[in-house]
Amino acid sequence: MNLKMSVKRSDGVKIYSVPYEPKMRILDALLFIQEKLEPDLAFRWNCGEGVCGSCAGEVDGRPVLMCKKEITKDMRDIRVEPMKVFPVIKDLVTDPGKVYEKLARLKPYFTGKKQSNFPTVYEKEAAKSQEMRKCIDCFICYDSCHVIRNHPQMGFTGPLNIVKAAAQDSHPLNTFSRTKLLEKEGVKFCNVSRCCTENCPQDIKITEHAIIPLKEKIISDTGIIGLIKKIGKKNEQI
Amino acid sequence: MAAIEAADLGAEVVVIGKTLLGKAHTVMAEGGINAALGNVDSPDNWTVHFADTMKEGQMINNWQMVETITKEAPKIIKKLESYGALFDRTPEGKVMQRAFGGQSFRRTCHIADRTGLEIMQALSAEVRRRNIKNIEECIITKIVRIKNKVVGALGISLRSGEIISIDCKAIILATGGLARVYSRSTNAWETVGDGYALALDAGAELQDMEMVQFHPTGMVYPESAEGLLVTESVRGEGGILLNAKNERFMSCYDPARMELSTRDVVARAIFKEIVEGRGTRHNGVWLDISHKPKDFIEKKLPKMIGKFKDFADIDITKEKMEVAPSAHYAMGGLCVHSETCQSSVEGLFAAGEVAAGVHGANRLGGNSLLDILVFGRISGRNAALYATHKESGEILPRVLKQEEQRLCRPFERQGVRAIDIKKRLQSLMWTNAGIVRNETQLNFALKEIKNIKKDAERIEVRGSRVYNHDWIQYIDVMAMIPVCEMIVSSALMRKESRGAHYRSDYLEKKDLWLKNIVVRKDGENLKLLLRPVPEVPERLKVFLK
Repeated sequence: MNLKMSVKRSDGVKIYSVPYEPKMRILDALLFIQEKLEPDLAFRWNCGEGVCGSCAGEVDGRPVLMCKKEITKDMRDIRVEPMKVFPVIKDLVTDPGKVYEKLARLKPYFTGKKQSNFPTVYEKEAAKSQEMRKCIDCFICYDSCHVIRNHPQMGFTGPLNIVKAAAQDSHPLNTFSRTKLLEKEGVKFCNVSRCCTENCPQDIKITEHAIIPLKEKIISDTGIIGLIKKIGKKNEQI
Repeated sequence: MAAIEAADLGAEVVVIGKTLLGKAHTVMAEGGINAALGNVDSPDNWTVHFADTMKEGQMINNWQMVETITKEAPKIIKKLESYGALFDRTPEGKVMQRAFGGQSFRRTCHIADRTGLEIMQALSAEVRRRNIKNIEECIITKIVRIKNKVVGALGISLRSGEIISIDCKAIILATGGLARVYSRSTNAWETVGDGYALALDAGAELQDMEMVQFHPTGMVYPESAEGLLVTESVRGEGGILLNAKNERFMSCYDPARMELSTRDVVARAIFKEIVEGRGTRHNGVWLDISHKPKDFIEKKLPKMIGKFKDFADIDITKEKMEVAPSAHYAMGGLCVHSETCQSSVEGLFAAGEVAAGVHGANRLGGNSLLDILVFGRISGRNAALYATHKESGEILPRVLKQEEQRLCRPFERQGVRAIDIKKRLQSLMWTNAGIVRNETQLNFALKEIKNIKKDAERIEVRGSRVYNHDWIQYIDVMAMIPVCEMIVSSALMRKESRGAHYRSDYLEKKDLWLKNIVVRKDGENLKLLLRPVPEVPERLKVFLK
């Protein structure tokens, strides 16, 4: 039995016929095409086991890691495309560089106190940061995000960078808050549709554990509640 | 780590990688990193770690390098924590440590089974903090030197297809290993041995190239998952090995240490069970952790659960895993100065898997992540110091042109596909220079490599130069050929069995062979010589008893 694979290449959609093997992945099908049919078909991959996050693309319109996406029985006519939100370098290879340009504004590194000895950190305190640190930079959340896809001009930093910021902000030894920096990066445009969470191959609860707490923090720091807090503080000082 | 250290000393650094920053093979490291912190087993200290490492290396390691990594290990864990890495914790809030094969105490610090990813994240963040320049998706194809001194490097940018030329005073090779020269490997796609080939071509000396570690447990089924790593932590956390007859066969090979014997012993045991007909349907054995509570496995081995669920539809909390050995790590590599990491070529440094010395004939699980950090730092520091008081050289246009011509020749000819040659070479190495070797097979391999070398001169590449995988395969093959030649020639020379190197025609380990086999280029051929292992001083010998 053969699969029909429609691959969006730089010079248009090409259709290939690929013999089906049980438990086959999208990556296997692409490797077959490259080996037997079209030597210069370009796609990015490295580990082949879902940890390096290199091979994200869109299969039947949905962002996935191609090394993990199994070709199931109902998939015989498969559409493979590059991630839509990035400029294409060639075929399925895109340039995700702009995410990191945005990330650079968020101090994406440890901002805690210097420790002279091994710090005492309990497992419970580490849990949230550890969840965020599972991120493999595959850009699937970014490619899944409606705000990024439909309204790029809004300048939203995107879910990936919020995860990176949360990884630092929730570090048990952290002393610097990125809330204000993030507020400037269009977090308000996120309408918590949970697409990022649903597509995350690392099962990070991006919406629930990173975005919503951030939105709450922004409101409590800067909205009417923040104002009340500020006044309260001033009164304390008097 | 090398880049961070060099940048902190004021050097102008460029990080060049075949992949995107932070996506190299290290992210696939699962089990952990060794440091004798004694957080779980308090009697542990660096001297025990030293002894374990030397013994596992079958005493052909460089003792000075082993002393350095075992002493520096706790400092490096602290350094990682200062970069924000978050290790799993003990109930007292200290760094948690787990058991690993061949170690006297529970010593391996970890973050579930994604330790490599955590380290990579911490290091990438530090590279970003320092705004260190990085060139992604670029393959270095030549180290240029004038006389015996490095002046720069040439390579191709995958994205533009252009040749790139970098003038520099020092180069640190941190390319990782070569396990992808074997058809079944735990390694990432990029790990074809470029670093070794570059060094050989530049005239550097390499050693212990016959010492290739086969990880006992790689996945065997389905085909798309073949070779993928099943972390040693599965056994560290209590997993047992069974053959098709449901016998816990390690009791025949190492009844004292059982599944937590050293990697060479476990790999050969599994190999033997399969060869002798006690293997599973897909030519593997069973690895079973399902006797442990579900929530324990979920906490300790989440990635393994995912891998088996995603690839094989197997729930490891209830079912057994099918595993077999898979090429994993090269103990050999560049001969480097034990204090500076400089090779025999001036200005060429090496650290991590591509350098030799630390692991000898076999590597302890958890020592490779330690190696890359400790020697990454040392090489970075010394390369920076070296560069501050050296004149810079320059790559001559003629050299650049020559390299461009060499790289682009396949676009002008018709012949064979690089991928076919690559597969031929990989399966040749697996069959003839793998877990068990003998003279006949090794001689055959050497002859075949020479044939492959000739055939490679007819490799053709079609299409544009931009992100052309066929072209990358060609560059890979040209690096793999000399690497395989070094492995096979060295394996032929070592007429004994030691550590990972197992000769069915020379089963014994002999003191006569307490030597390192050194290899370098001699015209078009390889020159091999024997060098006595540096003798362990008395003050350290006491720990080895």
